[in-house]
Formats: sequence, C-alpha cells, structure tokens
Amino acid sequence: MNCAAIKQKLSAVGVEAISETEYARKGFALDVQVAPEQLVAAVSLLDAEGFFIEAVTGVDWLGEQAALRKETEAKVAAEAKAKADAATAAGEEPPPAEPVAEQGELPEDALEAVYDFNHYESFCRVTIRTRMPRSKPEVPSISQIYPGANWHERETHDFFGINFVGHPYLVPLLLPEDADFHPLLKDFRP
Amino acid sequence: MSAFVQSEANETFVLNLGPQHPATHGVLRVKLTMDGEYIVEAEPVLGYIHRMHEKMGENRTWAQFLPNTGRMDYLHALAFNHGYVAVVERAAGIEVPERAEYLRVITSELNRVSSHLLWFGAFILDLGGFSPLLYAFDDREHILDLLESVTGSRLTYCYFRFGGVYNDIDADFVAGARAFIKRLRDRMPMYHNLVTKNIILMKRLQDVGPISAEMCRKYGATGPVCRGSGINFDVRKHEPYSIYPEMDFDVPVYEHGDSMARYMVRMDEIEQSLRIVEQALDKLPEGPVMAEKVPKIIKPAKGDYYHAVETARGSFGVRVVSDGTNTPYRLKLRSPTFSNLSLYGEACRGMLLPDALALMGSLDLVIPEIDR
Amino acid sequence: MYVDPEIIRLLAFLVGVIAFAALNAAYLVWLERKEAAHIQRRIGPKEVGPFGLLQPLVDGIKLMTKQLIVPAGVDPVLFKIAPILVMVPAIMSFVTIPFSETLVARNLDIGLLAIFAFASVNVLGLLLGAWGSRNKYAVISAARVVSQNVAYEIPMLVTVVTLVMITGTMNLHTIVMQQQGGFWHWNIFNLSASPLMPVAFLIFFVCMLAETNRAPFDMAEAESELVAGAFTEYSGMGFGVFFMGEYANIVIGASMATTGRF
Repeated sequence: MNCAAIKQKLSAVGVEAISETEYARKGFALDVQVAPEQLVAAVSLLDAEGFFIEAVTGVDWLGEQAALRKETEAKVAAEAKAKADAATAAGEEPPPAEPVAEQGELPEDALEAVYDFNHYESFCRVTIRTRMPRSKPEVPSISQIYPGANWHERETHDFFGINFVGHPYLVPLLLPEDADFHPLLKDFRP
Repeated sequence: MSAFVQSEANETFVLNLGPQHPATHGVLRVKLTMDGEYIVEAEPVLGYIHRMHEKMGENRTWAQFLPNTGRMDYLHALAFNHGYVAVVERAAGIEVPERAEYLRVITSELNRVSSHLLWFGAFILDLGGFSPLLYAFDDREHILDLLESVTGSRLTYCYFRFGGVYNDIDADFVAGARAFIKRLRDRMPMYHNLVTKNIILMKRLQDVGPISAEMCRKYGATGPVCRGSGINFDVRKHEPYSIYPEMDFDVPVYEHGDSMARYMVRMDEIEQSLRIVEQALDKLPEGPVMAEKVPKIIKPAKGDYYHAVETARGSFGVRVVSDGTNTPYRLKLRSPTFSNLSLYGEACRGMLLPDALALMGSLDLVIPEIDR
Repeated sequence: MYVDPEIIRLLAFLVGVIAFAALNAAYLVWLERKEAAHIQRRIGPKEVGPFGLLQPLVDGIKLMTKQLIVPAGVDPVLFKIAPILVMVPAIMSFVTIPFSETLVARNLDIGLLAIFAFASVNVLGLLLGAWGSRNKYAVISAARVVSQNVAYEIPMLVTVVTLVMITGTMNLHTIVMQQQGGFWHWNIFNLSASPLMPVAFLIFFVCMLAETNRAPFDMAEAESELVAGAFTEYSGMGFGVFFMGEYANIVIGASMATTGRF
C-alpha cells in the first residue's frame, strides 16, 4: 500500500481537494480537503487501511477573507497601475482608471479542523482538513471509528468550540470543567 | 489475573485516585468506579497542570517559544526541543551543520537514557520496591552532570537553536560519555538480576494490562507502548530525521502486549540508545555547531508544516501554521502520552487496583506533557 | 497503708514494658532506616547525635508536638480509640513473655493462648481506625489487612499447636526451660518429635511476616496504591501510636519465635 493508492481511494470517496505534498518540505504526504459531510467516509476509509490517529486539532482563520480581499484588491490595483504605466511609456493617453468593483459583504471566515493520520508500516502521513463557518462550527465526530479521537475532539472543543456532533461526552478535558471560553480562537480576550 | 464478574447487587463506589496520589507521578486524577478492589470503569481527568502552551506559542516569536518545549516533557526535554527546532527549520528552510546534528543526537539519546532510568526507578517504586529507584538515580546523576556541562541545565533543557546547538562539546564530555556508557553497560546486568528476574516483579507484570495492537492503532499509541504490543513503529526508523539513518540500532519489539513487554522494551532501548551515542561519538565530524546564515528574525513561508520526533514516550509531533510573520499563527503540539493515556480507561476495565497501577506505571506518564 | 507488692511489681513491669516497646520501636526504625540506606547507597540518618542515634527521639518529639487532626466527617470516637486498640494488646502480650528465668510479669499457664488472643484484637483496632477515618483507601487497606491476617493466622496457629503437642504445655516459661542446655535441645531441632520442625518454623516465620504486615506482605500499607493504607488520615501521635503498636507486634512475633523454638 502506498500513498498514491490511498490518494486514489480517497478521491473516490468524493473529497473536495487532494494533493500530494512534498514530504521533506512539509512533513506530511497527503493533504486532503473534505467537506464536513464526507469526513466520516474518508476517516472510515483510512481506518480500513490500517491508519492510526495521531491528532485532531483546529485552526481559526479569522480575518482570512478580509486578507484575501485586500490581496485581490492590491493585485487589481497593481495590474491597473502596470497597465497605466505601460500606456504612459508608449506615449499614449492613460486609460481612465476603472471604477473599483463593489464586492459586497465579506464571506464568513472559517474554522478548520485538522486530522492527522499516520501508518505504522507504510510511510504516509495523511492530513485531513475540513472547514466550517465560524458561526456554526459543527463537524461529525469520528470517535465511533477511532476511540482515541474522543480525547482529541474534546481538547479541540475546549480550545476552539468546535462542536463534534455525535461525540458521546463533549465536556472540557484540559480546561476547567465549567469553562465556557475557547482560548485558541483569534478573537478570544481573557 | 482472575476473571472479574461484577456482582449482581451492582454495589460500586467511586475512588478518586489523585490529583494528589503517589502513583500518578504528578497531578493526574483518575475517577475509578470500583466494585470492591475491581475496577468497573476508569476515567482519567486531565488539566490540573494545563498551561496552554499552544496559546503561548501564538503570542511570542518563533525563538521565544523554544524554552517552553523543555517544560512539557521534563524527562526528555531535548527531544521536545528537537521536534520544535526541526519543524521551524523545515518551515524556514534552515540547513543545520552536520556536527550540530550529531550533538543533537548524542545529547537527546543520553537524555532518553536518563528518562528511561527515571521511569525504571519510579515504575518499580509503584510496584512497591524502593531500592532500584536510588540505583537508577545514581546512574542518572552521571547523565545529568554530563548534560549540565554542555547545556547548562539539568532538567528543562533549552540547548537546541534554529540552525544548530548553542554550545560545542569538549573532550571532557566525550570522555565522560564514553565512561558513562561503559559504566551503564556494566550495571545493566545488575539491574536485570536484581529486578527483571525477580519473581515478584514477574508476577506483578506478566499478563497484567494487556494492550492489543488493534487497540494501539485505534487510540494512536506510539513509543514503547505500541512496541510492547508487537508494532514495529519508531519515528527514528519510520520517517528518519537528523542523522538517525546513519546510525545502526535496533528497535526492540515485544509481542505480548502486557506490562512486562513494555518494561522489556524500555530496558532494551537503554542499550540501543547507548549504541547510538557510541557510534555518534565515533563518527563525530569537525565543523561549526551553528549554521552561519540563520536570520535574526525567523519568518517562515506561509503554509503548515509537521515534524515528528521519537521521544522516550512515543512520537511527538509539532504542526505549525505560519502566516509569514515572526510569530506562529498556530502551533499544535501532539504529545505522545496524551494518546497513550487515552487507552487507559478501556485497558484497565475489570482489573484489580494494584494491577491497574502497574499498567499506569508501564505507560510511563509525564503529566505536564499530557496537559501541556 | 499497705500496698500489695504484687501490684507494685506489675506497675513497674507495665512502665518497663511500655518503655521497652517504645524504645524498641524507635531503635528498630533507626536500624531499619540505616540498613535500608546502606543497601540503597545512601547514608541514612546522620545529623542528630552520633550516627543519627538521637533521630528516633527527635522524631518522637515531633510526632508528640504535632496536632492530632481529626478530619471533618470522621467518627471521632472510633478514630481516637483505634490507635489505642492496636497499642494496648501489643503491650498486654508482653505480660507473659519471659525475659529471663525470673523476669516475667505473670507466668500464665495459658501464655501462648493469651498472646494469640491479644494478637487478634490488633486487627480489630486497624479495622476500626480505617472505618472511623472515613477514607476509601483506608477501608480498602483494612479489608486487606483483615483478610490477610485471618488467612495467615490459621497456618500460624497450626504450627503453634505442633509446638504445644511436643512440649505438652502452653506456659511459655516451661517451654523455654525445656529447651535449655545447648542448641540441640531447641524445639526447632527436635527432630525426634517430628522431622518437619524446621519447616514448621519456616511457616511460622512467613506467617509472622504476614501478620505484622512487613514486606513482601505490606499490601496493607502499599503506599504506591493506597497512599498510607489504614493510617492515611492519622497525623501526629495517632500515627505514632499505630506505629509503636506495629513494632511492638514485631517484637512479640520475634519473642514468640525465640521462646517457642530456640
């Protein structure tokens, strides 16, 4: 069994995106992006292939959309400027600046849950990511497939407030038992 | 171990093992539901020494987080150092001189031996034998002296830097390390005669706390716990880092899965670590111990990076997400004992209390690393 | 005023025995600590007095000056009475132990029986203390102590019965007198009565270890799992008295072995 075979099988499950990454550069071999609905199918596949669970964690992408828009705006502006410069250099009248397109409201930022799987025998670390909106962070629990994910999911719930639907016992693990805050959210203020 | 049949009356009581208890090696609490001396259910309760290292990581620069790594697994701090510097070097593309890699391996393997020695003493102490602890500490003291001479500290090391190590070793260290290897090799037969062949130890450990290979996989157990269950998995061989590929060493694997198997794995690992140190000392190249072109302010490229190292307790992985600034955007620390302990609840169901504590000792828990 | 000299004699003996038991406990501990230290490549007590000889004394003073904390929720009567219940029978057992040909408090004809009777009360004391201190570790420990002691009392009694059958008496003084005149007269070597006498002694020795909860039978205290066993909630002299009772029991065991066998 090798990573290419796993990649094919995972693609068959219907993941959003899958790419083989350069291990020496990144430290993992397969980077898989799935929708929350396909998570359980993808993880079951890895379970059947004999992977073990390494960790579950989250990443808060607060401000990502704003940054992306800024980037595109800068890009558009730079392109326009380059065009204008080129026109001036050619001795032409610079074309009138295009009106900046109104882009409407920003799309909502996402929370990302990251699952790391590794294999005892073959050399293939698989990273599964799934994104969910920050306002409704819900993702199916995989603790039925991997009992070890139980604690990892509880920890992730502590830190990010991600709600693992179907988790048998989603109470704070590392934080105090009455904790109602999620310290790793980027907008968390103690 | 006699089979446990829960009484029909269903008379159970809850025993709070910890957070202050001699056998939990720190502030771990296990909520035991007991029927007499049999355990019906065990639920470890964590978080008593939780310090939120991951949040700390987001609030300081890449280099400033370095001392934190030594404070998680205080017994094998250098491996935690290694995991973190390796992932940052991977992210920032820093090349490490060969001599520095050798020094990293020498010191962290010595540290591994000291960790195993302490575990050995503490484990036997858990089983009621006091003397081996002091013998093990006697040997461990030599390692601490050696490491102190080169790293400057005795427990919470912060010796590795991005691009190398901060201090070169001298001839005294080399001589001291060789003398120590000889000393420990001479003493290992004594440990085996005194402890391993002791009938009481055998009765306490054999067939106690069996963990199957499948259970290891489902819970993500690594390190001696999975190697005691017949899984040949060692990060040093599986995804070789640093100069481990050049070293000739074996990965001890025992099939039986009981506490004795885990005990034997660790005892054998001491010898393998000594072999690595010996070879590394033989091959030690000359040269700088620090890369020349390490930027003052590290700004890794955007993206996320993972690096795993083998600590004394299993695979320690660091996942960093960089947004291209001088602080990590997200820093995930995957500590080995967290996963190893998570199988405890299932493994000790139906066991006697003393056996459950033997199993807990054989998992080799370091609580600050679980709670982070 | 006439005082029966017998009463004075008994009082003197009582004081003497208590002093003996206390000092014995103190110096057995000192010896144990020193020996264990040397086995474990340590020095052991050395600061107080020459070779740390005054250490037990200082420990005793420390224990006595400490407050006897009675935790909330315990049964105060049981909690306080239990150490005494352990200590007193141990002291009482000394009554029939012949220290020399004439030095014996009461030369009872049923000496052996009396000692066993007293020895079994000691378990009750531990059980009461553990139950009274309302601590689960203590209760588990007490359950272990009781089952272990009851289990080992039977083989011990059997070996002692063999002794009674050979000597034909339960009077410790008589038993000792029968053995005078060289080691071949010792009951342990009385092979003509039974070739298994040394074996009986071995059984007796093992049972004695179990009765007094010494390693490897120290499952009662098992400090790595049950914290301090039955003594978990005791502090100061409550613990001290338990401790002295334990060591007095060891002395009783040793003197039984001596009088009965050698």
